[in-house]
Amino acid sequence: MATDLRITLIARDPEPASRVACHLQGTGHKVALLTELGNVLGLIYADPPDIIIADLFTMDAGLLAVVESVKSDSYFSAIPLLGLVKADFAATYNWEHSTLDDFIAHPIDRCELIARINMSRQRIKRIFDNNPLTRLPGNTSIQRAVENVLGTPMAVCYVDINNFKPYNDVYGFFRGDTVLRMVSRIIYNAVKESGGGFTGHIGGDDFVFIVPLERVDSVCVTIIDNFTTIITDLFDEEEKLKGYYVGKNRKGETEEFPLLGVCIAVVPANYPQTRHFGKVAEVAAELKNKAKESGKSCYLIDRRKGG
Amino acid sequence: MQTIPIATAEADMVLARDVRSPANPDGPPLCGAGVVLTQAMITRLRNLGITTLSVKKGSPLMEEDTRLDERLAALDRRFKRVAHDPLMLVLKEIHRSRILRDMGEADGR
Amino acid sequence: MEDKRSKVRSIIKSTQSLPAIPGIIAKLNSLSADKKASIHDMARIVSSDQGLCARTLRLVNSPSYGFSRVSTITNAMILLGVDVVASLCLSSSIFQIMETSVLGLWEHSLGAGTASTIIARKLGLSECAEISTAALLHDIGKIIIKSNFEDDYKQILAMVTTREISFSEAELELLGADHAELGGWLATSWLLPEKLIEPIICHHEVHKSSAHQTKTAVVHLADVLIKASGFGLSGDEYVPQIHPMAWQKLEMNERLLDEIVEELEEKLIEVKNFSMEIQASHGH
Repeated sequence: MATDLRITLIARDPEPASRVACHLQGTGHKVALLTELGNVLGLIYADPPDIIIADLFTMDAGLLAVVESVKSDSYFSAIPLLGLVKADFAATYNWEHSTLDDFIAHPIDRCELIARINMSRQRIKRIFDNNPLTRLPGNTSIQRAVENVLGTPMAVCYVDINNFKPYNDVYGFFRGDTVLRMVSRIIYNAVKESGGGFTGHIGGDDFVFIVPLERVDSVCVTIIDNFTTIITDLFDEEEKLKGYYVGKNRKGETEEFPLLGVCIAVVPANYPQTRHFGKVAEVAAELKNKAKESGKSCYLIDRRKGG
Repeated sequence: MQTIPIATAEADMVLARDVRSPANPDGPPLCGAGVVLTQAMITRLRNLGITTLSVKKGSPLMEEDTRLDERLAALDRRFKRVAHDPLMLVLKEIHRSRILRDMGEADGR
Repeated sequence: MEDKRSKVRSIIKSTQSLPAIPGIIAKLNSLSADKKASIHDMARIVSSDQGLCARTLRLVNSPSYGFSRVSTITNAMILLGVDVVASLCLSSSIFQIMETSVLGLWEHSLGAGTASTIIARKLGLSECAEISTAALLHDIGKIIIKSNFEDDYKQILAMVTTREISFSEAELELLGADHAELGGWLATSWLLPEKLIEPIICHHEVHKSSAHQTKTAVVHLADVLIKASGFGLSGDEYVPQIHPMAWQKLEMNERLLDEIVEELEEKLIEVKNFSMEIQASHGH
């Protein structure tokens, strides 16, 4: 369990709140007890804490308003907010518009409080960053994951879908979204079933996965094979035979578009030159351009070990 | 000769055909025609992925085959409701010939 | 009768899962525990049981995953992942394991799946895996009746025996709908793809198929051939008439029929072996 968290405890009445503050300080955390509502928002914005605990025992309207303000700003909505509440709280609270991440009822069980604090932190870390379409981790988690493997024999792989934009234009966003969901599951399952790794969704049709170097060939092959199998459902017989589908491009002209393919750029994380996340992304972009030249599904591994 | 599911194979049955490995069909047989099966062999073959065996009819311990007349009667019953239709009669005849072919070998080896 | 039909229909719409053969569950359990088991092994087991197959396809086509038109177990496993499929199959059957008395029905469907693959390959058709799935599921209506309308099921079997009528005829008389229609109601409410629903509904009345005539024709023919072969049990022993529309649509002739039956009979010995292994898994 984490210690040394910076906790802001907001309460109208200092009495019961200070006991909670003491206990939390006793377990190693830094607690700021704020009772002047007018100052709360300012102090939080100036120096955002790791956790906010609000004493909602009296369901004070002013306090609730403050809490809502903090959470409504997306920049701060990633800070877990726990409410200390009365026993009948659960039944009477309006959950549809709740801004709380968790609550704990009086009489406060101190162990439970600590546990819930930790749980909320984990939960927020896990879901806050997720792509809403595919529910895969997004850029913050991706960067963290890549940085964690720099200098180790892991492969950072960037996947994107060939000719995705015209497909989206011709068949519409619903079909396009379905393709993205399918690709995300294909990558996720391939990584998981090979023995584990990390899968993330950068956005649009760009994905990242990380697996040990020794497995990267088989994972790439699995992803390409599975993608090819699945997309047979997306095109009809004629289109599959011809190898292209017909639609209008953005200018309104009829054009033949190649069928969807997937292309993977593999950047080994243990090369001397890949010491920074940004460099990894750069190398990947170069590889991807090269890989797309073939026009088919493929993967390319960076073999240039020099600087 | 009769082809049977390996699950019904029993010791002392005699192989009518070579058994080849599914992984290496052009290679040497795992077990040759004429070999008398033992339980150990059957288990080994099953573990190698063999699902059917061709054994000689009249091998000892093989279950009594359903009699020819019983099989033909069952065939008649199955086709009872379509007995007037020429195409269905063709299908029935295909099965009838198979049954006769199958049972016919019981008379000799 | 309309009342009965509506009642049946509403029960079907609220059906959440179908039972599976005990041996299949046992086999799946041992595969899950075996680290060396491959995805193919698992896909093979799941695709041999109509209850598990339908349940899995239901999940992958459901709104919570956002996929549609997924029609084979292989594709479902690619999208859902092996763990999800295994957990789903193992959990959905805990309370609903079919008695072994319906083993015959299971064998019939398995045989139909095999027959349809042989037919589709012989005729050089595309989407063989999808056709095979449709053939596996063609009689799910019968499982629904057995598990949700047990008494009616027994009565239907009795009517078939004493009055020498077909299963469908007895169903229509007693329930106001036959297994083809029932299967269609379930498949529709489970959001299975149209290419699977149509063959289920029209496998006896091929002339009613529209967008998927070829698939329906194959499933129909597969059903006829399995009955002709006497493999498995499907409620009555009567071989149905090959529908002329199916025969024409598939451009069949007697020589092809002969070759297909020949190949099928050989293959059925392996299928019988598989069936016996599955039964043995359940510790008979």
